[in-house]
Order: sequence, then C-alpha cells, then structure tokens
Amino acid sequence: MSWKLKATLLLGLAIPAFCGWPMSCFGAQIVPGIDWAAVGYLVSVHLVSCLLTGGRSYNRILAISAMISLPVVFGGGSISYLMYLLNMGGVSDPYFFGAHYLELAITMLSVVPVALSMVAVIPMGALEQRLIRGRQVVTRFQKSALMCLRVFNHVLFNVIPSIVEIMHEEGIFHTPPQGTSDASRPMSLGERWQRFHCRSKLLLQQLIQVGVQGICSAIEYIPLWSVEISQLPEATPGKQTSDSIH
Amino acid sequence: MVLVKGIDYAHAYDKMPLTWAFLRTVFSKIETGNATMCSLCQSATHYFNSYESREAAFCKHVYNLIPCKTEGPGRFWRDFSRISRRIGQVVMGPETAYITSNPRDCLAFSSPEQVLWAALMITDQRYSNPTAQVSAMARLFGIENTLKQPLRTLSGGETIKLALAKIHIQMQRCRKVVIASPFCWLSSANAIHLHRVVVGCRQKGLEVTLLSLLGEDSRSTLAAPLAALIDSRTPSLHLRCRGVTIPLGSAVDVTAHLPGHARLNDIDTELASPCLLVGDNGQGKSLVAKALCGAMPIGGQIEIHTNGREGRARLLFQDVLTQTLLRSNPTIARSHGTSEDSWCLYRAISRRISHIGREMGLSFNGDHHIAGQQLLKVKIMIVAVRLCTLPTVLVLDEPDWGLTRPVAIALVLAVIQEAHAMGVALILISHKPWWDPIARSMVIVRKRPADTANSSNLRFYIETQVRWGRGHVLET
Repeated sequence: MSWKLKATLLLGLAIPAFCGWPMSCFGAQIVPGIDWAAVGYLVSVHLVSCLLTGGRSYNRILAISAMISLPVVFGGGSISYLMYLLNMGGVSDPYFFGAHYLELAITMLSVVPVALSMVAVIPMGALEQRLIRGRQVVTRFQKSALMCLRVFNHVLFNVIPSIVEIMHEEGIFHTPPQGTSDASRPMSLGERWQRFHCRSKLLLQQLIQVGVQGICSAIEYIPLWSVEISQLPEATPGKQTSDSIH
Repeated sequence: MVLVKGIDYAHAYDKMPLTWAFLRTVFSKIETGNATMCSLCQSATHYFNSYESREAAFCKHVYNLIPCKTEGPGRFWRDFSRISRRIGQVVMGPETAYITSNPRDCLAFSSPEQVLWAALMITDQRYSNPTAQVSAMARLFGIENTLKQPLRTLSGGETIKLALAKIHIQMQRCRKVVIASPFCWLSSANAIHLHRVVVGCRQKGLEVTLLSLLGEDSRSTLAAPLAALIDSRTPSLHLRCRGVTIPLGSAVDVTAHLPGHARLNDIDTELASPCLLVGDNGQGKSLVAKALCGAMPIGGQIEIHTNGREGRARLLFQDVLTQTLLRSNPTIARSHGTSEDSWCLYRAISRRISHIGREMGLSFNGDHHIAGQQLLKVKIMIVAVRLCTLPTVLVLDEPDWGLTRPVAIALVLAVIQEAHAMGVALILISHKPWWDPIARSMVIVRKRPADTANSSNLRFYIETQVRWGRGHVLET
C-alpha cells in the first residue's frame, strides 16, 4: 500500500478526533465518562494503526502514547483528588472529575496514536527531497512547504535524538541523587519523603530544562534557513513552475 | 617532523634504508606541498583568543542571524525575538557563502544530495546534467557514498566536507566566503578539501575569511615537559564488547524509515589511561564513544572495569553547548544533586588549569580562568559533574573544540590529572596529533562498509585495533 493511501486513511480516521462526528451520534455510556462510541473509536484507531504501520512501529507508537497519556491522566486525577481532600480551588466531587479523567484517558490514547501513525506513515524526509530534486525553480508554496518540512524533520531527527542522547548519558530517569547518608542503613519515613521530594524536584527541573532546550534548538536556525531557502530561484507567473529535468 | 599522524620521518628512514634517498625526495615534496597549503590557509585566517569572540565575529558576517546560546535561555530569547523581527528584511543574497562553527547548522536541507542540488539552484546556472554535477562534486570532496543519507547520520568530518562542497558550488556566484573554525573538524588527511576551496576563491578573486581560534590549525604535538605532567602510575582500563550494534539516525524511531545500524567488532582488552581513540574523519569515533557511555540504546554487551572496579562510563560531547541543555553552571552543578562536590571538583580542576597554564606561560586572572572563556568554564563544570559520579572511565570527545590550543592543552592535562587522582580512566578522542605524546594506549577506529545486500540493514562495520605504549608508531 502506498504512503499516500495510508495517509488518506489515517486522515479519515482522524476526523472523529478533530470534530467529534459521528461519535456524538452514539451517546450510550458504559460507565460515566466512557461511551461505546469512544471505545469503538479507540479500538479502530489501534487496529488501523497496527495494520498500516506494522508491528514494530506500532509497538513504539503504543509505548510513546502510554508514556505521554498516563502521566497526564493519573497526575491530573491525583492532583484533583488532593485538592478535593484539602478543599482547595472548589474542586467538584470525585464522581464527576473521575468521569472527566476517564474520558481524557480514552481521548489521549486515541488521538496520540493517530498523530504518531501519521508521522510514521508519511515519509517527511523523502517529501523534503522531492521538493527540490529534478527542479531548477520552485514556487513560493514549495518554498513554504520546504521550510515547514525542514523544521519538522530537524526537530524529529536532530533535536529530539540529540536531547535523548544527553538524557541517556546523564541517566536522567534513573540516577539517584548522591547523598551523604549510608546506603546500607534503613531509611526513616522522613528520609524517604525527603529523598522522594528531592528526586521529584530534580526530575521536574530536568524536564523543564529539556523542554526549554527542545524549543530553543528547534527554532534556533530558522532565520538562517529562511534566508537560505528564500535564495532558491522562484518560478515567476507565466514561466514553467518546475523545470523537471528528468 | 610528522608526515602522517603517528608516522615520523625518522621512523620511515630507519625502516627502509634502501629507499632512503627516494623517500627523502618524495617526503620533501610532500612537506613543501603541505607547507604551501598551510601557509595559504593561514594567510586567509583571522585568529581569536576565545570561542565567544570568534562567534561574535562570524555572526557579523551572517547579518547577526544566529542567536547566542552560550549565555542561557534569557539571552537566547532576547536575541531570537530581535532576529525574528528582522526576518523578511534581511536580504543576505547569494553573495555570502558561509560555514557555521558547527557545520550541520548551515545546511538547510535534509541530505547531502539535496544540499548540493540547492547550491546548484542558488548559483542559478543551467547545467546540462545537474545530477552528474552533484555526483562529481560529491566525488571531489569524498562524500559520494553518503549522498542519500540523512544529514543527522553524517559524522562531523563528512558534514564539513559537504559544507565545503556546497561552498565550492556557490563560489560560482558569491562574492565572499566565511568559514568558522574549519580546522577543528577536518583531519590532516582531509585538509586538502579546505585548501581546494581557498585556492578556488583566490583564483576567482573572492574575499575568503577563515575564523579560527589561536593554535587550532597547529599540527605539532605536545611539548615533552607538558607531556611529563602525566603521572606514570595510571589507571588500567579493561574493556569488553560483545556483539555490539549501534543504531544510526534517530532515537525516536516511530517512522521505520531509518537507515539501519553499525556493528562494532568484539573487543576484550586491557588499556592504559589516557587512551587515545584515533581515526580519520567519519570513521565512527563519536559513535563508539556514545555506545561506550550509554548515550545510545545499543544492542550487545559492553563491560568496562577500571582497576577492577565496575561502573558507568561518562562522556563530554564534542558539541558541549548542546550538552548543557542551555543550563548555567550552577544549574549543571545541581543536576545530580551533588552541587557541593561538583563545585569542589570544579575549583580543583580550575586550580590545576591555572598551574599548568603558568607552566605554559599563559596569563590567568584571579578566577583561575582566562577572561571571557565561558565555554571553558562550561566544559570544566560538565567534567566535574561527571567525575563526581565516580565513573569507571571519562570519555572526552574532541575536547579541544571551541578552545584555543593552549587552553585546550591545559584543560585536558588538568582533567587527566584529576581523573587519575580519583582512579578514573580517561579516553581521549581526537584527530589532532597534539595528544600523541601523552597517550599510554591507542585504539584506532576504522569504518568498513557492509555488503550492500544484507537483510539486517547493517550499514557498516566499525573496526577497532588496539595499539599499546607511549609514542607507539602506527603501522600503515
């Protein structure tokens, strides 16, 4: 199956995620927050994604989706419950926000795999190549597309992998903070809390730094590249838009 | 006099007395050629005493279109918002051809073929067969085998060769050429490509400017008194690699359009520290370093023991600015919850640098650093944080990047002294001949292409060959 057909199928599959239709027509709920339509959509998304991307890619898509969705849902649910217990911020009864977080989990586990499947199916690198190869002039639209694809590919294949390498090297998720306490001595509850607090704070700081670095690296060379891409000879009206050589 | 890295004239004469006269003639010709090449490049070079001043000078040539990121996110955002307001107003035009200090950053396309094709388009010349032109240019600069590869998978050396090939095409139309720090990326064997570009520019009457750090283009090895600063009792490193495969390309592999992997040969060897990992441009030195230090999700098994102690290996990346994640030194120091220890080590390494610097006749200010050497401070802090975790081995990947030669020497010697005092072994990656006299062991890295028809998507083999001893002469 060609990537164009795969991309079209995935775009079709993404319509309910973007506009809610036709899921809104089937409102029967299994439990509060989860209706039959959402579950059906979730199942079809994963089925289609597995078929279109192949087992190896689907495994990774599933892993990344879970890594993104679950902390958001469980984190959000826990914070809301804590606020409810402390009577802060006017948080409603867990019965209501529980339904909200269930719905959020289903939505995220549907939408994120669709987006990742599109990334997996559409050959962005090859598309970027095709925008120039065999031409001597490009249209303004092609220049814009080239810039968009460049930034996208730069983020996906350069910025993120570089950051992941740094995170791997630093052992960002599994390096315990070095303390002066004796490792063989059993820790008291207070010390455990202190360690948990310290680790959480450190992890949060590191994730913020990773986020800042990611954004800065993604946009850093946009001005230079935009000047470079703008230098490509542009097709003028009345002239052949793309001098195909081959 | 060193002819090729690790091979000196005297050795060649000793080994081949019968052809002495012939060799002398050949070598003198090569030496004359090298000298001419060096002097030609030197005449086009402006030297700076710090990375920051060199970057500032380069930035002026490209209309200040690059935001500063050595001074944290605050400065970066200020710069970027200033630059982004000017987008659309700056008309650099094709008259300026340039290579940034990290050559990958100046390549606005996704593969070498596309970069060269775009350069042909920008020069606006109607070639009868542009595909042949691209191939010819790639062959001229020795990148014909990497034309279709994503830029991400090219090594630093291949990237600078591609950038030079691009400039060589743009030369047809541009008025000036500016290159930031070409010497830190090119090995001596590939210096000919830079020379070709400089000669081409001169022949066309173009203004060519090479911006370099002091001593960056030096080919002389470390002086004996400095090499003697390394203690003879050095940690012993046991390295064992079995069935190691290294993925190439992206770690975020959801696309399944990625270019396969490389295979490292099995190693089981004892190495003395500091160990020099050498190899020409694009042979896979940095890949090996990342695999050793767990920066990449590898297949197979790597075991490292130093003086019988097992543990992790840590790495100082060549592109240290990316490694900082835009963090300031205090934030880097806190990154492992060992802030006080990190600062203690930072000060200890700084004192050693200060001491070695005085031996070299460098002037240091009260803060033990050469004024304005922000990048040096960052490197010291990153090393200190890694040493705090007491790794088995610390790998320094091209530690001279962004530093002048004297400062780089002082830093490396100080780090070796400090690491050895803590019982940490050190692996030094470089294509410069500077470090040969301090190496206690040497590993040569070479790339061997895999068969084109293989089902496992294996792209190439990385072969390592272990050489022992100080000043050991390499076989050819």
